[in-house]
Amino acid sequence: MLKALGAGMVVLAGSLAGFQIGDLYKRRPRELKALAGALLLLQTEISYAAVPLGEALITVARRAGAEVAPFFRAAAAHLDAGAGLTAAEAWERAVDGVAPAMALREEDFGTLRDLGAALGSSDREDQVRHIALALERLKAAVASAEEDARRYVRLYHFLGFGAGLGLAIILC
Amino acid sequence: MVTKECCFQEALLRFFPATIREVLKPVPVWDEVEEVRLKAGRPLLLRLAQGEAFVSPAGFLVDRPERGYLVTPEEISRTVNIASNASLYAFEEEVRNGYLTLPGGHRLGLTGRVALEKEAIRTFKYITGLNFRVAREVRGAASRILPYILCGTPLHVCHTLIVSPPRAGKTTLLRDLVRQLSSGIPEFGFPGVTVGLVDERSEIAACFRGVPQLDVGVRTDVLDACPKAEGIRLLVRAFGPEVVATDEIGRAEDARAVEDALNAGVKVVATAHAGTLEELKKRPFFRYLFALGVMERFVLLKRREKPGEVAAILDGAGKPARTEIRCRGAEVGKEGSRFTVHGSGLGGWR
Repeated sequence: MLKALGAGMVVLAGSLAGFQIGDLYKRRPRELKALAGALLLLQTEISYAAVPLGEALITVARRAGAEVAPFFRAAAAHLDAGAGLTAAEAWERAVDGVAPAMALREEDFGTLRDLGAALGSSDREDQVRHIALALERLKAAVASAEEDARRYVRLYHFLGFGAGLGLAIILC
Repeated sequence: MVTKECCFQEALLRFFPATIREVLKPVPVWDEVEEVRLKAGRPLLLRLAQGEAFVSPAGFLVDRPERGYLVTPEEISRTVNIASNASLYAFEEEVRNGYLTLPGGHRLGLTGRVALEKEAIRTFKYITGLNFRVAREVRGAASRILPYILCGTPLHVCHTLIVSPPRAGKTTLLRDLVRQLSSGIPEFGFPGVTVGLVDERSEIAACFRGVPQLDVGVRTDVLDACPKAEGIRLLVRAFGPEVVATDEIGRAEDARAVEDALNAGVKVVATAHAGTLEELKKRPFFRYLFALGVMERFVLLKRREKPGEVAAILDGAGKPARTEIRCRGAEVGKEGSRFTVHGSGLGGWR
């Protein structure tokens, strides 16, 4: 009886691990799309209204998807803290702060970091160009993330369950 | 007072990156600082009310440039980023004019390599030099000249031109003049008038989102960052001010707007860049203004040891102005006499 309970728990743990990895694949395209939407908002705030970056980030945080809102809120908070941080540094800190909780990959954060380095330090035309470049890169990332999600979500669900089951059989 | 100066210093230091803050923080003469000059690869320089000094890495004032703190190009770009609130794109028009107006009315002048478009500056490709000009609100700065600006019974404001070389305090004087004319002067029994202020460079009222950050009086309508000519016309048409005030007139298009204001019966109080009245008379705009013969008062400022020193107050004919006001607390000198720079109570405002 105890053995069966243990085996059941091993299978459950394996399945959960599989679901968790699969979930990362599922979340990444959603987060990338939310990020692209938010950057589009930021582009509008900068190009049409020339709103100061701190305010623009707060507006974006308010309107963006829940997946990426904490990032923009954190960037705005770092910028307004009065610690003498440049936009690039505030942005970088926000990236570091939210990275562990997001399903994005290092290459996606690389796109964000590259954009952060140019934020706020040139005229509108140039800012719009940098955001457009980041959007292009995110668009490409969304396509590959969706393909990955299609391929790997089920695979990892099955692998997790299978690995748990296999381990349970070996242990029993 | 110490606390106020300390807060003022803290507020100014927030425009600089951490490394420059560390250098500037121990500087003992913050109440004297008029300009902070940063140039890439060259020592940090302060222009003080009296003279100038380099700042050592430990924050001491030194005479020799080689002992001064060397500013890096990185620190220049960080300063621009922080001072502009990481939003240089929001200052495009100002960048084209070579400066940013910061919260509090302070001004950050820019130099470096520019990018041109149709022979006009489009933007700065590299910013390598900065001049941070500190704006100070000096309440009472205009008290000494007010008895000469108000005349008649009942008291009314004279058409006034404040003539001054750079860094002699004309904007500070104009700000306080506007404040007092707008809020009223109980000592003179002057109830206050509606003032329309066209603040093209956001230096007088230091507006943040259109709300004045410095006191320009209770009856003052401020048009912030608005071209002078357009602003004067708009105010005269829509706000019916009794006085229109603006800084640094002199361009051809200002002439029509000033004339419009005069025709509408509005009093004009303005400033102009010049060392002397004679210098001013050589310029076409002012020749035209003098030909109209409407200016009633010329306040000439001179920078000697300190800013805000009144050299003379003249009437429309160029003769020393007279005052009809006698009141308590106002040291206005002898009636009809020319202001003397070192006379008691007539010196600078610090």
